[in-house]
Amino acid sequence: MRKIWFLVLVMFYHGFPSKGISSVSTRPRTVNVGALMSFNSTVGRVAKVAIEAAVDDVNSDATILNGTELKILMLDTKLSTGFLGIVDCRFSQTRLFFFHSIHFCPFF
Amino acid sequence: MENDTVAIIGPQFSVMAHVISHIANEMQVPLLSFAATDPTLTSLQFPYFVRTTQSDLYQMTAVAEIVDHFQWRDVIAIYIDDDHGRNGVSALGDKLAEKRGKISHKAPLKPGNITREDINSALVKIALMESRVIVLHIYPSFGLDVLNVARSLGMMVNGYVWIATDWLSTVIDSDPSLSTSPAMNDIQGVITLRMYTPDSEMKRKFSSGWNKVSKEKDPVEGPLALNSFGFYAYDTVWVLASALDAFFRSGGTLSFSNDSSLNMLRGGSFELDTMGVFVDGEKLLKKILEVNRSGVTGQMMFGEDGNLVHSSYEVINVIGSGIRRIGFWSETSGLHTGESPNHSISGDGLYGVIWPGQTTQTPRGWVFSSNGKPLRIGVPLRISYREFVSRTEGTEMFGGYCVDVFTAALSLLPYPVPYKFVSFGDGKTNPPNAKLLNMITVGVSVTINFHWLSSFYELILTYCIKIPCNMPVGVRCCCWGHYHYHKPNKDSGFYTAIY
Repeated sequence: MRKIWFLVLVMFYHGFPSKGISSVSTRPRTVNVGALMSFNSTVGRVAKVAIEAAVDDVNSDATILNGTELKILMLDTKLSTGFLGIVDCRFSQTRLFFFHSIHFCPFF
Repeated sequence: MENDTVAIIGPQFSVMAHVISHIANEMQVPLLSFAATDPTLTSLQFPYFVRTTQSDLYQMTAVAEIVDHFQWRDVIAIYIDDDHGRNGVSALGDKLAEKRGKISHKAPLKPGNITREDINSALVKIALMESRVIVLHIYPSFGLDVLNVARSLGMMVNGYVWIATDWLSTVIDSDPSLSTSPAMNDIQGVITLRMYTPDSEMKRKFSSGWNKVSKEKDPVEGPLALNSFGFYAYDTVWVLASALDAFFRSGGTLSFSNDSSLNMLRGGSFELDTMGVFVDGEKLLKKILEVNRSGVTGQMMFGEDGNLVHSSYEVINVIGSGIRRIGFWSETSGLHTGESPNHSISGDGLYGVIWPGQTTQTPRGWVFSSNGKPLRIGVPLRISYREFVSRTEGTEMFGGYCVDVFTAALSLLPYPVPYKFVSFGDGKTNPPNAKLLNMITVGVSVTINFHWLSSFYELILTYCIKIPCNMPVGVRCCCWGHYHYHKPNKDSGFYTAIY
């Protein structure tokens, strides 16, 4: 259970440790959004491409989020629907996006 | 901290959405799921969960209306026993109850790797049951296996009804090679649903560019066939982008604090002091729920319950090597055949269906279960009026005018009714009618179910027509007659006694 808590929590973390409140100006250069799906599933395979296409379209559209780049961090939850998708995913490059100092199998 | 994640698109699966939603609440990070359809995810418990696809609550309403449309009452539900399956089927039960129907049997399959043996044992039980209307609510990866086993067990023949939720349309849309594969034989006559997205310039443009995009983004598998979830995934990003735009315009900032109730978990090996709570998360959530834009799926706007407004589904019949749309269901108009779900005359039903077994005749939806009890008919062994009903001496055979009428009526029914005469009384005196009636009502009320009721009803109608006008009817006349207490509500008592 401890492991799961940790794994779930790390997905919300991206970057370096912070203490207290930190903030940036109202229009940041980039906004990070995580995306979770099973890359190899019927739905996930199509959704992954659709999300990437949408991000391209949003970023090339000057009428929306002008000056701010939308960044998507894609994570493969494998074929499992539940906890296993959270814990059973071995090391992957995407973990680097989410945390910097963990000692066991990451969430993604 | 600019590097933190402000929102999550997904997760894809409802089960995982439940897990992550708890954390999203604490971290104040909105989740926008394009594929988690479990109705309970939009509960007040998970304020940070936003469903950017249609809820199974509406899909199950559509299923219940299809069941009602064909005048079936009892259905059997096969599902994976996890949040997604269980909560979807629970919504189906509620919606059927509103139409005075019910789920007569739930067949849960264990989550994870489902084997053919698991499927086989669940289906063998179902085959012995009365209901022939089966709702299959499962994942795309396992659904075809269930239907394949069903066909091998002879459950894809005349008389069966299979309603597959939108997993089947997703499989069909995503795999163009299916139409020429042997698996197509397993799904003949099945009814399935597909989330309806109206045609629009935006949708056409997206669809026409899809092949190129999917080949480019996924060089290994691509080009991919598009399915409805692809449309919703695409719109999800736009919803989030619009909300972020509004968020920044209204002065929202990307501030993260480590002050959360998760503090109690800090220290030790958890390293939770590296986590940040999105301070303006609630504000972003509000902006997401306020989005109102046209996307490739139509209008993306959230109702008060947190679900997308204007839910509608296509109702599809799998025939030959393809599919045929037999109508639509929409939240506002119910089932209808008009091209535009929200603007047609409501309640005009569905086009004709070709059912399993290649028949156009609507299945009755039930059979007498092979392990059920026969219809038991109490026969008083009277000493008077024996020409109406009497037992042949020395046997368990019964004869007389009443028995003849009864058997003649039975022969008119389009299906067999197993029955058994049960004698009452010692044959030396007239047995008390009240006692017999009492025994029947007690016995019947315990064992009766709706299928029996409907058969009783048909019997009685037939019988009433055939009975001569001058035939004395009723208990006091001591001859063939009947008692029946029939209320519109099928749950109420309906008892028959024959004299």
